[in-house]
Amino acid sequence: MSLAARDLIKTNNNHRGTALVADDELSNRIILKSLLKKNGYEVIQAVDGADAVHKFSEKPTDMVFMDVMMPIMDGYESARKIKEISGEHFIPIIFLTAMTDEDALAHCIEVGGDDFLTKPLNHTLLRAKILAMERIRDLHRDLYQLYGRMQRDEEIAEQVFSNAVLAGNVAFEHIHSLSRPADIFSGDILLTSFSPSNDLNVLMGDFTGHGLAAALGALPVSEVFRSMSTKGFSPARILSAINEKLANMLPTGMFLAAQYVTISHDLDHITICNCGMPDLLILDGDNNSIKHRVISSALPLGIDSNLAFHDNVKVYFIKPGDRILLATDGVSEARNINGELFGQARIDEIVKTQNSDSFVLDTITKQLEEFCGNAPQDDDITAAEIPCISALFPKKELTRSASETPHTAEHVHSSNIGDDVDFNLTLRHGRLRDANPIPLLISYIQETAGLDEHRATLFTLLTELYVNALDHGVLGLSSDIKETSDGFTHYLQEREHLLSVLNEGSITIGLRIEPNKTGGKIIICVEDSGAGFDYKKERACTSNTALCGRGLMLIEELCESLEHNEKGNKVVAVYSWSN
Amino acid sequence: MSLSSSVSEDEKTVTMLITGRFEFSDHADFRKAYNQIPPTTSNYIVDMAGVEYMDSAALGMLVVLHERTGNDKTRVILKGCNADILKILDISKFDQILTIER
Repeated sequence: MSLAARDLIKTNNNHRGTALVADDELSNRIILKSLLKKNGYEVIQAVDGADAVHKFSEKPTDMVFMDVMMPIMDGYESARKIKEISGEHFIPIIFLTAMTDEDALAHCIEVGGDDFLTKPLNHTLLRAKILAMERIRDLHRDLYQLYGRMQRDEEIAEQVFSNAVLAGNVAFEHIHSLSRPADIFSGDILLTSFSPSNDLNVLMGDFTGHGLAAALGALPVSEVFRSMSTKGFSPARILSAINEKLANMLPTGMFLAAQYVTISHDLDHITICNCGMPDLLILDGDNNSIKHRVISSALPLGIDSNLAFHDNVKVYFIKPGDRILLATDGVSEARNINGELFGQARIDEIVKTQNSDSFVLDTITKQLEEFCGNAPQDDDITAAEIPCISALFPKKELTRSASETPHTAEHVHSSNIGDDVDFNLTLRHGRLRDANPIPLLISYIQETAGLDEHRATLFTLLTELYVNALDHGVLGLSSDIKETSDGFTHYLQEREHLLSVLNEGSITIGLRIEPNKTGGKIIICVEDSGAGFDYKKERACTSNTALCGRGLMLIEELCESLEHNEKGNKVVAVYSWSN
Repeated sequence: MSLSSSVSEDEKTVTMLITGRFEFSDHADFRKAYNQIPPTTSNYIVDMAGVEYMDSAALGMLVVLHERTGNDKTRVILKGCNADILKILDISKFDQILTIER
């Protein structure tokens, strides 16, 4: 309903409210009372300012008419007190004055009055002022209700946000973080999750804008991030999925800049992708120098749904004690009272002068506070410093195969019990280049047999078997390359090269799940198209320092039995569990 | 921010002149401006010479233009960006979706 229509209805209504009339002159009160009655108002009379305050506090009215000069307490003082009592409610106070002195009229408004009428009173003018005041009062009430609703919505949204987005975070006790939203809500997010092999995945993101609208996108992002992370997908695949989801869901013009980090559970290397965010710093644990600066190399997420992230993901080798510093542009673009930016250079300088035994972020937080002072905050500020230490990761509790009874390959193929499930997957040619079948296999096992507590072990087992088949079988790489000093890097380069030109070969993975009354077993069979490899030699290589054979030793350690065929291109591993 | 735009005679190219701080709070003005742009428009030139600062929401407004051209990067041309603005565009890798004249 329009305000004008509402005015009209009210004009016809006989009872529009109560008015308090404060005047020491009886005749004035009587004249005003009769005029107000004609306009549908009940009238309460007060004989001076103090009387008005007293009557108002007993029964608040919808409007107040106030004489200026009155004994005991004048109109100014009385108006001030009434405004104090009415608090958040808008009660219009209209001064009645014989004065034409401009300063005195201005003073009426200063003390809290909303308008004034000059005596003698003009009926048309009085009526107009009443209408104007009612209009302001209605606006005020609507605004107040809207504000209340908005606050309630924000409180609810904040709870959903913390439960769904923040509560799932892991390893936070070791990560130092700074979060200063520009609104109740932050458009920045910081998410952490473990992969099945216990690598730590971290995503720091910055949505366009800030406030509730920006925070809305955090829900789908955290959902995709967590579910894919726990299934073991690679950073590039997770980023692609988030990118696609946001591109389809968010309105044009809204997107998410993000820094993505995966820290390997053995603290050997980290995988990073910087999509439209400021520099990410890797700090040397010994002297806090900047070891690597990872600049943005990809578009923010949610703009182009077809973006691939493979080429933008980079791997850096680290050592225990190194640190990773992530930050949104809210830090470098924070402004002081003169409008100057905090700047990346200041962050670099803090890093340079910091002792290595304390956190850089603590100093940044302190200096940022001093720098900004009381300047208004334009954007959400979020930063995190992650120490690469083993305490980040859950304690290694790899489950082991339950029974020690040996099984032979023949036995595997002959078994045929009612509840068995077979699952075969063959990857060929180019598929081998970029596919990672492990998450699919794991989720298949989980859907069929549950086995939550065995997930990490099965993930390791399948990964090792698959990587062996791909590297040594299809690609024909020899692990001897790894022996030399920078052999591992060389090995990875060679592998990457061979993969990029790969256009033949295949790997078949077969799973047979055999549940029984006390538990069950999974028989994993991996066969590749390669020429086979000398598994006897690999298995004999048991020295702990050697890089070769580590994979096979691990596999043997984890499963109940492991059999190779003579050629060395087919392997059968048996993993058992008991309920 | 202040924004003015002019349409070429053939109604195919719109030149938008933006000055001041180009940010979050300008969204409504920007939307109003681009809603008035004739549908025949196929090319946008955004003159950024007078822009001192831009935030991510402003980048979002540029994405809107990008989408209006059917995601053709040659049809939205940004010119006259100062060094700070260029840095923001670099970080966001916007050279992949817009043409940035340097």
